[in-house]
Amino acid sequence: MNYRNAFMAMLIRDLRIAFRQRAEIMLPVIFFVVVVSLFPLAISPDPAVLKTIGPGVIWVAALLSVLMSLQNLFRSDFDDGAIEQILLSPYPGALLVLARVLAQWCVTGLPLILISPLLGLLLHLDFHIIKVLFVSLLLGVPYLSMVGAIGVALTVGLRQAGALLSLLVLPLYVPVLIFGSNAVVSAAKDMSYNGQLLWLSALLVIATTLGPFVISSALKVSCSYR
Amino acid sequence: MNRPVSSGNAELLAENLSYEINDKLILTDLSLAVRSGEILFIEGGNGSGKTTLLRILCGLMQADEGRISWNGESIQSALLDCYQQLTYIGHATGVKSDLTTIENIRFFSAISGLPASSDIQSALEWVGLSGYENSPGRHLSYGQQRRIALSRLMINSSLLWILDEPFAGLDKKMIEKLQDRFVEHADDGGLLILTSHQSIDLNKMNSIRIHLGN
Repeated sequence: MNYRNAFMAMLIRDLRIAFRQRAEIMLPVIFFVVVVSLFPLAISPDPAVLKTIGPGVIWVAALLSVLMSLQNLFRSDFDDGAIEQILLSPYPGALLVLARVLAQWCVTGLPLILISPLLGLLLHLDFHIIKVLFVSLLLGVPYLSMVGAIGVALTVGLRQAGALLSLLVLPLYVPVLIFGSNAVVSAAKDMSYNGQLLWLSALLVIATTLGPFVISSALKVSCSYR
Repeated sequence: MNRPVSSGNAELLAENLSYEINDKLILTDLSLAVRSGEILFIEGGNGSGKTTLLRILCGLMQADEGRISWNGESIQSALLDCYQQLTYIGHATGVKSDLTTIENIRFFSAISGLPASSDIQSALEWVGLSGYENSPGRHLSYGQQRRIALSRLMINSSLLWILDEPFAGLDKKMIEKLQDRFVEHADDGGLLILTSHQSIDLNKMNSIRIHLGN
């Protein structure tokens, strides 16, 4: 039994599959860029306006595109039976599931975080505000992925799970949205934003330590009622 | 083949299993036992509960009533030991359409937690897939995808095999080869549970038969 090998095998498998479905994987990132860049056209190109709405727009767009990227997280594994092999593996389900979510985060969450400073520039945010935005997304997006994955694991056995998934997951996304965008707004007002970032870190730690166990149990439940 | 079979008298025991879906009793008070060297062949028509029974036996589903034990220990406490010794191949093969034959097999092997007892190339020859090493799963037929899953029987030899319709989608020659492998596995002290609704000539194998359904 080699835990690292099993973890890496799972991670590499999912990165490989993602790389071979490039068009599909790029979609959430394109969605993120398109939504953010439509706002100046729809509201006002005035820098003063964009500076006030910018942080919120970027955060909401990031949240929705993470949710969108997660819809099919376990779908194909569920349909082709790979999930049974994963659950019947002697390795802890949580370990393998963590690799699965990490792979998903690498191909959707990470590009989204990396591209956010560019979108910050587009909305006329100052450099030091972009820095805070970047850090808040860096802490917040992995939480969104992990908590979203719990919802996906619970609903993967259902047909038309999309609406239910949003209902389940959005209430859990709200605190992160508030802390995340508020950190950036505070930075814009030259106020302290450490508290919000610490809250984001705390939520991230809870989600990544407990999330994998919840996800693997949820998958077991979904699998036993098919 | 040198197999890492540790115990010569392993036993999977199920007592008084009952299971119902939508008020329809699928399994009623079913008991069965499989020991080292035995092949249990579960027959029954479509919808008679063969797949459900196998999924319950390997812990993917919970029976409403009854108890399953592995080597005398209740399955809940022996789960890890049991999973280390288990190869389950269901209807859905778990073969990813975006991965090549080799990549699929390597992944199965990595998460099985078992040492490889045969190299991938000879296993591919056994299942008749040499030459398809780098073909993505989506370019393979259903039978070929099943063969990828079956190659696990060659590479990572576990003690307990639970196979749902192992002969589905295979040609006659492969069915013969598979039966030889089953006999070999039982002779080596392995346990085997399989289902089929096809009337396949299983005279090669000495099996215990259970008939489900009416």
